[in-house]
Amino acid sequence: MIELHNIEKVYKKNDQTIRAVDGVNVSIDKGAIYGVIGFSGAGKSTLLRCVNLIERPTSGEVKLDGEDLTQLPKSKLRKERRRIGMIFQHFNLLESKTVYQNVAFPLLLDGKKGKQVEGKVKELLEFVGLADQAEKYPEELSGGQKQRVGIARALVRSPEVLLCDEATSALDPQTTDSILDLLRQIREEYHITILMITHEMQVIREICDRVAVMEDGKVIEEGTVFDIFSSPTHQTTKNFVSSVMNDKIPESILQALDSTRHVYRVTFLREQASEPILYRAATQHHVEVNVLYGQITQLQGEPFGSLIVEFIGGEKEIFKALHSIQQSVTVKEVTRDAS
Amino acid sequence: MQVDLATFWPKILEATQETIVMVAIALLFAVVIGLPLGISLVVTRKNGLLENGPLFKVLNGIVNFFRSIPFIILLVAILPITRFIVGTSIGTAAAVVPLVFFSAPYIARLVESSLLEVNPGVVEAAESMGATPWQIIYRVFLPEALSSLVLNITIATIGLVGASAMAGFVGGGGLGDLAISYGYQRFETNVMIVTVILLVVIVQTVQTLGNYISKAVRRR
Repeated sequence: MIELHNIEKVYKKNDQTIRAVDGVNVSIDKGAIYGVIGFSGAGKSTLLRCVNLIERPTSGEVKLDGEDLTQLPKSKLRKERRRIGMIFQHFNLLESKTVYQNVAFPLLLDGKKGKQVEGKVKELLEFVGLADQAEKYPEELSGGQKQRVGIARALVRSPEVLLCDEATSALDPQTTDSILDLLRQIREEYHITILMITHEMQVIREICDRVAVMEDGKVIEEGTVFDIFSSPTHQTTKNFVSSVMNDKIPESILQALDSTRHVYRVTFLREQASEPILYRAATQHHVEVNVLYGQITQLQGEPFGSLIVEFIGGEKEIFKALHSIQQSVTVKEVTRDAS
Repeated sequence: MQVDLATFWPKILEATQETIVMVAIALLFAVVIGLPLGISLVVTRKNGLLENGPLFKVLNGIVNFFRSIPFIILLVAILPITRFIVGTSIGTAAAVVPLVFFSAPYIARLVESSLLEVNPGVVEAAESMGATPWQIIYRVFLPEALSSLVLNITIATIGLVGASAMAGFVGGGGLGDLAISYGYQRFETNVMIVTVILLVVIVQTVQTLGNYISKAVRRR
């Protein structure tokens, strides 16, 4: 659906060359929710703006259904932009217009009038749950309501793609959840491809199918949300993952470690998480298993667990138990100075 | 010797009318010129909608040039232009031309500052919807800045009332002329007081009206 080939965006600032986006390749399937995460300044916002060419990439191709948008003349590009809705961190609503007029705005630009506009606007206000707020002005609304107006406005032309620029970053956690629910609903009801950028890892975990991690203008890691969360390789990715996965071992446990104890991190993926692997190993090899810390959670509807486990018993038995566990799950020793 | 105000009234009324007509006509033309000029300053600047460095520099230079000339000098300096445009270099019509030259660049600056207050995010949103530059100007910039534009044009109007006092130099008439020629040069204190009171009333009325309209278009 969307293919970004070798996108580069270079700025010149006081003789300095800044590579905001540095050779990014991304391919997004139709109907997917694709997330791009990175710290501020990583270039994700610029990358997003390259998709609808609000920022023109210095080089590279932006393909929408195989058509390279960068090659289109301005007037044609404006037409293509109707296929791409966009929502913003700070909503960017017209303050001088009512909720209704804001949602109707894109249709007004198309020169549409009357019943056709009214029906579509009402349908979308209904969809985002603001049918009774139509005559209010943006400044009378809460942040979450403003974002709902932004979403209704972005959807009013029935686009195929929705770009989300930190759409939940200015909202409180509860409102964030309700907006994410709405985005999920959009995918189901309107079959729209969603590309979102965020610095909040829980947003990615909640809603995305695939994720790209950006740093210094480059994509440093890319994959399904399950793969990235269960086995991040790059340090930045690991930091992002641990920010929501709560997999850092508490200081109190690390403090109590010494060379006589046998503490391991056991990571379960998918169906492994539903097997009594630890119990079996313990009974079979006559060792005691004590779970010190950890959690089992769901990623994209699949179980994923990370447990800090202490084995108590003879050296030989523990070795055997570990060996048998390692057949099916990942085991790593935990030492005091590292996780 | 003091004039008898009772018999002087018609002259005062006439002068009031002249001031209002001069300011109104000058304002109309100044807005017609200043508004597009102000819009151009915003859209041609760096990272503007229709970025055009050379054009911006030229427009910016012209505005600065006219804004640096004191009105009294401008009044005399452009006499040939005035004569060319209205066919005479004396009278109320002749005063309007320099007033327009004085006020239009000022209004351009005020329009510029009003439009720059418009949230760039909203402009970006309109661009993302595929709005043309023209649509962005009249569907986003102008309505979003309307309240601020009204206030700024009120300021320009009051500036025009002040400048129109000097119109007497070209025989333009008006309250300021009356205050200078009778009140100041002939020491007619009561004429001076009456004209000043009238000018105060005009300025107060304009400001009150401007505040009211600005609030009304603000939508809550």
